[in-house]
Amino acid sequence: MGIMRIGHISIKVMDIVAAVKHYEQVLGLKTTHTDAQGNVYLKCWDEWDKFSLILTPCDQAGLNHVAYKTEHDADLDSFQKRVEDYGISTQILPAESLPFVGRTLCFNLPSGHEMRIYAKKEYVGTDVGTMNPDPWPDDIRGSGVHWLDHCLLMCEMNPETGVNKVAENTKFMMEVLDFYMAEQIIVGPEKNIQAATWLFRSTTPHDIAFVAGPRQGLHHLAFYLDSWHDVLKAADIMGKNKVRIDVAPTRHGITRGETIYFFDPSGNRNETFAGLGYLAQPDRPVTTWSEEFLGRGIFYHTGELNAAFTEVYT
Amino acid sequence: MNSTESHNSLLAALCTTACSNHHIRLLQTGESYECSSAESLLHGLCKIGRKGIPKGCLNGGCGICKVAIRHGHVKKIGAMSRAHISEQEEAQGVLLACRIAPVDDVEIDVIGLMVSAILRGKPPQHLQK
Ligand code: FES
Ligand SMILES: [Fe+2]
Repeated sequence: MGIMRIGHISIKVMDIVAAVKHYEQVLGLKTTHTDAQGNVYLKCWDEWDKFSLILTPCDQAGLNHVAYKTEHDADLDSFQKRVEDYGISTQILPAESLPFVGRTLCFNLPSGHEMRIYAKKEYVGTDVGTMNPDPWPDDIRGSGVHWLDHCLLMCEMNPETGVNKVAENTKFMMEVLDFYMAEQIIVGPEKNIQAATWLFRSTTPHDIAFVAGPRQGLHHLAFYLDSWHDVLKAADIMGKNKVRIDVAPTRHGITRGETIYFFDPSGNRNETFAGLGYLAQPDRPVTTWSEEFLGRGIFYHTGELNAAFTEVYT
Repeated sequence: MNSTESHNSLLAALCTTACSNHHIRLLQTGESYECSSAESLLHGLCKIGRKGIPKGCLNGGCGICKVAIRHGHVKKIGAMSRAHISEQEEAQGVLLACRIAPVDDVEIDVIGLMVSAILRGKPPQHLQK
């Protein structure tokens, strides 16, 4: 079946102790490994693979790479050929280049972001197990997020020079990696500029999103919660921990997700995201948002897009 | 005086007794505000209630709050992303306002993405000193 879901994201943090504390106590992940370089690996309680988040100490914030898990090891060879045939150079990293991960296909998206695809990662099981499991474990901390859900990458766009990395990434992801489009934003006087897209491989509205901005970057990484009430509780936990909240709990028009945005201690934006929105399927018709309804698409209640939301990212 | 202003002055009065306040001047608009040595320059700036001051990550990562210190001294209160502040800039007093606190009275220019927000529209009359 090819790519199944987002597997992990590796991000740069400027204070590793503060970062680990944030992702453990506010989000509720658990540390599963620390390597010799001081990189910290964490997972959510409902995930079964060894980790979904890597924090790497650095003098800046932002994305290292995002990785997707494919079903079969042989997929890596066919993807490598297809990516190379498309004109993008690739590399296969041997197994254990990242601890607990099998051989990995590695390349840059047209936008410049590093993407990886792997088929194997050590299985450790969810916190409730597979035999007669309880619906949730007893030692949930903080927001108790279930899993890493998606990421949103900012891609360079400049209509004057004709640069549109959102459109380039989208074409690549759909033609080469077999992603499907759930929703898009189309802008411009001729209504022909693809300014944002939401793409999926799983059955949820997005496993990755691309939005146009002045420079390449990481807009946010998002974790899944069950319900609107869990989003409210997550906000309470942010209040308790004096976390900088970016956007108070609200709903997206796009994907119908219930959401809250906030920042980690290095300024990387996080989201906790609830509600499955709708069943995403390859034959589901694509939803399109026009420029006039862009604000409504992003924040459905107010319909207002604040400048900082599109200008502030790492 | 509206309730927000009276609330702000109450906060300011409380703060003066607890920590030292410094005078921060925005050279581009002539506005100034009080900022305690226990809060970031950006936090103080947001309190003047001007519309359009972009509230970024407040954690030194996004780079939106870049300022140049033209006079006075500040202290660093957290890590600043090297993607936005080079070593050379840091040495010249170009810093992230969310990661510095005043040590004495300070004069600043905002630079980068915050400029248009700061220069957009006239500041409210009562803030011009
Ligand atoms: S607000 Fe993000 S770096 Fe200061
Ligand atoms: Fe999101």
